[in-house]
Amino acid sequence: MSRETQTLSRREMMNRSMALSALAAAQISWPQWMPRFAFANQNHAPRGDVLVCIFLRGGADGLNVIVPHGDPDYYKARPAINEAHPDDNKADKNQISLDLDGFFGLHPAMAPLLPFFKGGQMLAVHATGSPDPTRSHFDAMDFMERGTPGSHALSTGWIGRHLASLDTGTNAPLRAIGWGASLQQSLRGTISATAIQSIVDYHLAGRKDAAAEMLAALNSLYSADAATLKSVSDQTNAVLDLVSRINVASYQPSGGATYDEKQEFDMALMQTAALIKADVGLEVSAIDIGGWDTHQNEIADLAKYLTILSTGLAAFHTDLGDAMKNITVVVMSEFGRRVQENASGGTDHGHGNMMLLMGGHLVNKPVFANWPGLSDDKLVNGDLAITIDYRDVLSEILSVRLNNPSTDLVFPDFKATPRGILTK
Amino acid sequence: MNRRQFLQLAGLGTGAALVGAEVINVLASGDLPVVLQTPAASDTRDPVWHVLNRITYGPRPGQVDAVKKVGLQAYLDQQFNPQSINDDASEQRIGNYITLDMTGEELYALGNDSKARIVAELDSATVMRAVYSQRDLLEVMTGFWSDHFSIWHLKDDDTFLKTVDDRDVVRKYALGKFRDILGASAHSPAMLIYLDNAESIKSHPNENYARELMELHTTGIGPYTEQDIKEVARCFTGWTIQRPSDSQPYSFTFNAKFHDDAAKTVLGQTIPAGGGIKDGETVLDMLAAHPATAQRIATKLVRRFVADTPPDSLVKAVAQTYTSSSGDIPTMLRTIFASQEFLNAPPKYKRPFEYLVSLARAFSIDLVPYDNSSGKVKGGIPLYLLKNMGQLPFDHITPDGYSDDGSSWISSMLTRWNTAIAVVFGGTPDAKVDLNALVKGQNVEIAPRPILDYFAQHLLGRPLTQTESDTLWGFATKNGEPDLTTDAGRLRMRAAIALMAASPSFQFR
Repeated sequence: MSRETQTLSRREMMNRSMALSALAAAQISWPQWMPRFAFANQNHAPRGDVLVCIFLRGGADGLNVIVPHGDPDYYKARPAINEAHPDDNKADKNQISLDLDGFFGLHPAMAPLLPFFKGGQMLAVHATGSPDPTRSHFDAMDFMERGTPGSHALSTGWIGRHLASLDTGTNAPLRAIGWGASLQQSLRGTISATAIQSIVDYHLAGRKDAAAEMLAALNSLYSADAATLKSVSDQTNAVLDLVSRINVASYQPSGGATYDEKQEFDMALMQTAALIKADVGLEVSAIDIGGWDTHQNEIADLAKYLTILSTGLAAFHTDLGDAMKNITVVVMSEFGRRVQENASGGTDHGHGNMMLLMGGHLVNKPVFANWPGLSDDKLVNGDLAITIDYRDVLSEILSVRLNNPSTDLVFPDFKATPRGILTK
Repeated sequence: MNRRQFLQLAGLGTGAALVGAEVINVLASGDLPVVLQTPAASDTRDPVWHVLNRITYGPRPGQVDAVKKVGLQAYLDQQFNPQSINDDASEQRIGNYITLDMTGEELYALGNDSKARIVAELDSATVMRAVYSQRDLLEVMTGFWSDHFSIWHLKDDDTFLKTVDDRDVVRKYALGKFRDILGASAHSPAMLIYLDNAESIKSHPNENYARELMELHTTGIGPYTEQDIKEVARCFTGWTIQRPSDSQPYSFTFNAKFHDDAAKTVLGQTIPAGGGIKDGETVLDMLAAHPATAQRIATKLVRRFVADTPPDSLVKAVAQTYTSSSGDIPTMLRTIFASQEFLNAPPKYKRPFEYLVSLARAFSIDLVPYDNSSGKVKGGIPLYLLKNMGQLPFDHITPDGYSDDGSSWISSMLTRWNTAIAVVFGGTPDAKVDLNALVKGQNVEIAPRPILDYFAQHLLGRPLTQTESDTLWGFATKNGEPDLTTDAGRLRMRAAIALMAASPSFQFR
């Protein structure tokens, strides 16, 4: 399928976004983000998988992560910045891709994940992404996280809308955690998503015996507050209460798994694992890894970051073991990178990319792709085309594994195509 | 109500129009989205207190009275002339931060082992100056332009070069003319690295700077096409940095050999062949003069000083001022400060940096300068607090800089509450608050209720509301009126003040 038949032209995108802004601007007495409509029928369903959503910030080079070694145009476009064919015994052994299905292979730094790909516990989707043509990090991340390519109008994120449209009956104050100092855009729109840097440090400062009294006073002050902050304060208190009742500090991973204490990524995964095992009602964990913007020094940098990603995920899988059958991990990035390498030892911003999935209910096929090809006539402005919209992948996760049928509310104005990537 | 009825009510069809219905948000039962409702401006708010909350990072003890004495206009006029304000005391506090005055060459010479120190000295200087400088408005505008021409400190060698950019670009032109700060930024080695223009050459132009120059620094999305980006990138080929072996290493240079000197077309205008470095200057002139740039800069300034949703009427006036003054920043600011929209502005949610600095200024905190020479870090508390709240200076990765929209900063209240507690209790010798000296210095009666009332006026610009009074006075007097001659009594009083600093109203400025 070509990009042109699948997606709106840029002009249509702009018009749509202007229409949205006009609607938003019409209500000038209210701030832009105020809620105006309720979801008519909130769905009720039992909790499904825990969703771990990993965002690679900077535009990860999908062509060098899930390597199309069977496509000769890949090597033509990338004489220097490539991962060698699995059979290329003259290549530097650190740059030989690991075969997955005879056409695609893994970047060698992802060796820790190869067993999971072979065992049907991981798969990649390729030539996927957001159809908006922007090559701006800021816009692309924003569109992808809001779930509305081409528009900044909605102030919520796709995960926020998922949580808000699905009542899992748990009343958990902490349905979603965004690891880091400020909440990712994808999680915005629901009060039960909180940004946390570290569970162990999540308590009121000062003397423990004073904390309860101080919190009570803060509660009164914030309850009287007519503005926003009451709901945020209530949420903070609920999370503080929850956290005080579980012991993450002395967590011991299972199965011999080891997390790297020096890596924020590993620590986020480890704390996620601890919270899952503590069964506190956590439904979503959102983790970021930065550093993927490899305009230069790509060979070294990509290997470095893929090592972090791979060893962390492998540890997580080992740690959770059997519990992985109720967990779905999805990895995405705001765009891929140009097919043609640049003159600085790297690649520039592109379009189509890969996504990775890990879990217990994946179809046993290492790579899903409607591969458009990499010859010049098949590219979009020199970039990999998109043949599977990223929202197809996420919608399938939400409906099949997270029991949320309302993917039309999560991704407005988008009709998801089932791809058969996950099983019930 | 079912979905069909709901859509009918909203007067919309199905399909594409559903996007319109989703325009804003979701309200799920028991699961409220986070909504930043702007509180109404209090009727009892002191107008000078309000103005100081906008044009400084927050009033210091006695500052409202001092400004009333000389008159707001006189104070403003002085702030527009920062060189006339003696800032020796503030600069002396950071007198040991020798990296601040170094050239790019000198900073590189310190080596990779010094990177952490260079970063920390600049970050700490940013906080120290925001807290102690008497050039209040200059510091606020330095912060504004740091976000506008944002550079991530940890991208490659920007760890060395951002120090130079902060001094020679942002701080130097913060109250000058927009075309000057734009030009300085375009020549800045730190920017040339951050947005990859340093390696943009004729055979392989790098579009990153060209894109962000238009999208973020000047017109914003709209007036230009992808083709314009390519042409602008060609104009800036050869704008790069001197090599270590050159005469002024790591400073700007124009390398004609790498410049694409053929003719170009940018925004419909032809730039003839043979222009050399002037191609880039022409582009900067065009962009600085573009009406969309006037609109965008005006919008950002009004958002910073007035409201998250900038009032159209004022934005229009400021954009006109931009055009008529050829982008003179103080003239634009005067238009804002003289406006009704500014004087009647509703409270604006403080970003983490603003929150911390407003606390530090309000409580006359004594911050020990940053120093890691002994192997143990001293003076790192403010940076630690800022990192926790998510706004460490120059730590925003993407070129759009830290958001100036309050709703972006709403997540958990815990880090803010902990910041207020850290500042007011000042548990470490690195960051001391002497409440006793503070209240004595302001001639407040040393008794619990007068002290509480003083802080209400000082922190909130008005008397306590009934709820605030019930809660805070109730807390303070839990065991009877606190005896301020005893440790227990002083501790309880201090805790009540910390609660006020953590309260909802002080989260807004």
